[in-house]
Amino acid sequence: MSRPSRRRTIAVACTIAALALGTWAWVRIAGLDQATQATNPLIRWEYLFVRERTPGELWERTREHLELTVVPVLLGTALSGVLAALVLRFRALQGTVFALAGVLYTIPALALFGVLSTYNSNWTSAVIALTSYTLLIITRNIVAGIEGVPAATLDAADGLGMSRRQRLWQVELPLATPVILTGIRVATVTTVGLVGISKVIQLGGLASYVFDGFNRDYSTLIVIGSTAMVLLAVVLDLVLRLVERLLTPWAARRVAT
Amino acid sequence: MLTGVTKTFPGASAPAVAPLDLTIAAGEITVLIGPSGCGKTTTLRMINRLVNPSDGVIAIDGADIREHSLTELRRGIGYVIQQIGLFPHRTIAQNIATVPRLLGWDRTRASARVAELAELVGIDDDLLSRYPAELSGGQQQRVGVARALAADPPILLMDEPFGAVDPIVRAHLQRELRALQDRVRKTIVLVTHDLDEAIALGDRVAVLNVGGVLEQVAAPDDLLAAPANDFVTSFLGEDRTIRRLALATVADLDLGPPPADGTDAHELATVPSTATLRDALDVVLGGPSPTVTVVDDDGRPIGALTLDAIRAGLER
Repeated sequence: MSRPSRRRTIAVACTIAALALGTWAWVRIAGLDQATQATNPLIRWEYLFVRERTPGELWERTREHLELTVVPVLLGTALSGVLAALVLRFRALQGTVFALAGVLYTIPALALFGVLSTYNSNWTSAVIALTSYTLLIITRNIVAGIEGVPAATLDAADGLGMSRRQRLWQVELPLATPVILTGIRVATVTTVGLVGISKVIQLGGLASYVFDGFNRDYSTLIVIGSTAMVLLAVVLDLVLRLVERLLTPWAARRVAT
Repeated sequence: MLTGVTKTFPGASAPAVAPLDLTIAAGEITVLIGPSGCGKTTTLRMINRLVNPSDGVIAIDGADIREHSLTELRRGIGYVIQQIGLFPHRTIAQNIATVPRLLGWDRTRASARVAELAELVGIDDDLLSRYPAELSGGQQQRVGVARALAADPPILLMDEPFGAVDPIVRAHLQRELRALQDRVRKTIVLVTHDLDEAIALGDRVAVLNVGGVLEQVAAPDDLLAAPANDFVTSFLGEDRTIRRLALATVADLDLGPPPADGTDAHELATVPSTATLRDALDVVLGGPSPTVTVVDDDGRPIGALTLDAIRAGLER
């Protein structure tokens, strides 16, 4: 792992730890009186470690959440590939495509879920909505990544006799990979957060814990739900960073002799 | 080879390359030189059809280059550019093997060729598994040349190949290219704006004027000795006679007899017979006497050199 990336990981971990500690302290000190704290503490560890149904439930919620993240991101990546190909092939479309993706991105998630679920099943609605949110960032990164390939590299590729197709697959896409994967990573982490709202249309996911926790005034559930969501986002982020490292071994080796 | 070739870019009022006739001799280095905007790079890029001529015919060995498919033509012509343009995501070995792989060579044959070329251009074997960003500029350009030569194309196009490296490395790479050319005997078309480079590398030099007007084609010595017109004269600069001196060596001259034994030879400065006339002139002008002793590789006197002999050498 290169130094800047390790520093970033440490920074992310520290931020999460600080936020958790801050919340805990705030609730402890400001929130509740002694009696309430005794009967309703921030977290009941026995819910997590003693209650037999918890691990199964937690896994089930995580699986739902993961599914609602991965499916839209994969669909979004595929669709973005098509959109980016259109933009790169027909320059005139660039403004229109980005404007449309931008409009989709600005529609509030709750409104979109509501409208869509009138006509579709809830799961389909959620997937459509979440997919539409990934389009802007992934399409933009694919286009930026491919446009970022140095002109001299393309000139060499043409001059050595690569066809357009060979140039795209052997030079442009590999060199755009870091930028494209960054787009997918950001879209994934954003989606993990957005999936939370899909609880509103009865789709489960880790946000169920948070909603239940609020409804029943049971803070243990809120803590479990939010922590698990943060962990899921961090884990997915790290996995995608690892994928990037494996796919782009040249990027880490930049020291000239 | 180039007949009536012209190029006008869309939207431009004047052509970038005026109708141009130029025959490039096989096995020689032909240098295209001229000021910015003279169309030298455009002319070069028309040969492998990175730019398509607006009119005219370019033929290689009598065959119009449009008879080949675009990729087929380009794979048969080596191409080296100033920015080098190595593929950053591929190792040095993979970069060199680009054209062989495009041509469908198997791995064994391609990697044997890579080893051969690394040897030829002076790339250490342990660099082959590195990535371009790990190499110095000079090393990268050597790889660029190796990549261009990989499928053994008869023709090599070089667009300011040494423009991006520092002067010391540039001089070194120029000597290497000259030595390499003595071994591989390619037909090389090289674009430069550096007169010293043109003189040092070219068997023939084509001087282009703004708008792609060909002013003169000649061997470097003839060019410097007899510029065809005012443009060429001013382009070559005030010191063209001094530059000419760098093209011949002392051994090319008719030398006077060496000083007889017994004369005080130690009083006289000496110059090796392999020195250029430019260096010899320096010794003649800077030495204690107007006559300089010429010595062979072992330091034995073989002749005497005077200012007049150098002048006579220029008049030949």
